[in-house]
Amino acid sequence: MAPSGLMTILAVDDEANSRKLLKLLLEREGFRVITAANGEEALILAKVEQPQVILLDVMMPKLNGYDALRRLREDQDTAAIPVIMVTAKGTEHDIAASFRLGAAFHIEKPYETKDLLQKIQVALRLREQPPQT
Amino acid sequence: MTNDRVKVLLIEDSPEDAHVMQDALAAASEPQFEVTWANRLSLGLEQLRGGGMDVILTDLDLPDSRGLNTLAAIRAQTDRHPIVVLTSSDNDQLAIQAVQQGAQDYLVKGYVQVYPSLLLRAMGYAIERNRMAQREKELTGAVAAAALAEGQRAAELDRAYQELKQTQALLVQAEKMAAVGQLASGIAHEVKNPLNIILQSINYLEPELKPEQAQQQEILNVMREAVTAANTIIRGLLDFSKPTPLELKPAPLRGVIEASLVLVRKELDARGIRLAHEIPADLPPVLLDENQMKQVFLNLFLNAIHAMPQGGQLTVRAAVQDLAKPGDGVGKRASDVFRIGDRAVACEVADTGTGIPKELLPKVFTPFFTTKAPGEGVGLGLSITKTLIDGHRGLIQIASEEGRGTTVTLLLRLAPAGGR
Repeated sequence: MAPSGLMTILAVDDEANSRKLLKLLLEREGFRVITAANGEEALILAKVEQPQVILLDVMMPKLNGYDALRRLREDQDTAAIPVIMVTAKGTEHDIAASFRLGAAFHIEKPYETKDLLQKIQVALRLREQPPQT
Repeated sequence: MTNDRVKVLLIEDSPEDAHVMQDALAAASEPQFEVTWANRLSLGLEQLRGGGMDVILTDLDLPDSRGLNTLAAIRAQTDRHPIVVLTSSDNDQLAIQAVQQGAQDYLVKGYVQVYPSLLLRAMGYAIERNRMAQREKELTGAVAAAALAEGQRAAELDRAYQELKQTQALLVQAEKMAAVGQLASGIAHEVKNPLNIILQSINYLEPELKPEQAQQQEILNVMREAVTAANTIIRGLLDFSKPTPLELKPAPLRGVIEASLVLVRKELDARGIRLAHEIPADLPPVLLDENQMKQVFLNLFLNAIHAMPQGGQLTVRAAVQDLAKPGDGVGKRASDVFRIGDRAVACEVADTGTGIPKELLPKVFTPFFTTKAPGEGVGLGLSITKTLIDGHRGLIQIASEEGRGTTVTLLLRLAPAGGR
């Protein structure tokens, strides 16, 4: 997407207050923020809106974050969008699952916003200049 | 069975659910599971007849059998295998009936998808619980045989009964730990989300403050500290519920004790507690997992410090001991940890604090038992400590006198000679 407009972030969390705060915090940083309450909504929004970054909770009804991540990766339209897992899950096993499924980062709740912002910046740069392999 | 794969017979007609279970089991590393899938009861029973299975994970509603009949059919074929029952609904009544009719555990499928670790834990506990139940059965058999025998009948009966009682106590403790683990990890995740909402709210408000609003900033700092404190407790609970593999290596006890003392140095100084530290430099190495043993000593030191709000003396002593007399956990019974004649390192952590009333002493290793005020402790310190020492195949004993102080004694295994 051309960098002329606002950068769009899709924030996915089943908790309404979490979504509200993410929206307030990220809009203050100059992002456009769209939100989804579960994995299914996230898949549809990601495909239509083509956000620059997706923030994905894990424990959600309907379609959980790991399954949503798998499906995002399988769909050519969304496969290249960097995903940051933002979740209460934080064991080594959870983190390994995030990376195995292709997440760019795994952030454990509770976290400091500046940590999230930093990772979003890195994810955006990953998108512009994919690592050479 | 420590290094072998655990062979799981999965009886489940829904391919999606079977897939979820297989995924969750495939993720385990210690132990590793090998899953054989049958999509109807008849096929499952056939597999079972073929032998080689360690544990059964079964749906209750199958194309060729429904509800508790499924469990009954499996139990009719084997009373040796642990069975974990899966259902799609959170039906307490069914759960109770299933466990009454011989299942070792019960899981709701939806939860497994969200917390795969629940399944791994349930399998581990089911195997362990079954092992203990089998042992109890053998012992009950031993009791019956002894009753028939003449001669030493009374003595043997008594011994078998003692072992039976001990096995039962172990069984109860295992059940409690299983409950604590499940409860802890469930609650932990539910609490981390609201904690994060509070922290994000702090993060939102902070830049909105004007430089002259120092008090408001101070309040936000206090809130942030509270979130951190709550999260530390939650992390502790999660660590507690997570089965950590034990890495036993020969190591000097002195270094481990000193590393833990460094962590409490500030508290000792703040309360004017003297430290007496009598650990011979030539103490032979002990078999231990350094990280776990550091946690053991940290827990013991913190308890001692809490018991001495007005100051006092913390004594740490260690010496090699020949176990000459039978005692708690020392003797010839199968359940004894040490044999008479074994050599062990005895390590004492003693305080001169408030002491523990006699009637409370038997409860101190029980999870969630605490005499601390709400907010100062959840009552897991000593039960974690005991679990860790049990893992080391060591012993922990506690002696206390009200107003005089408490002494905790650890008996630890010497590393085998030859420096391995």
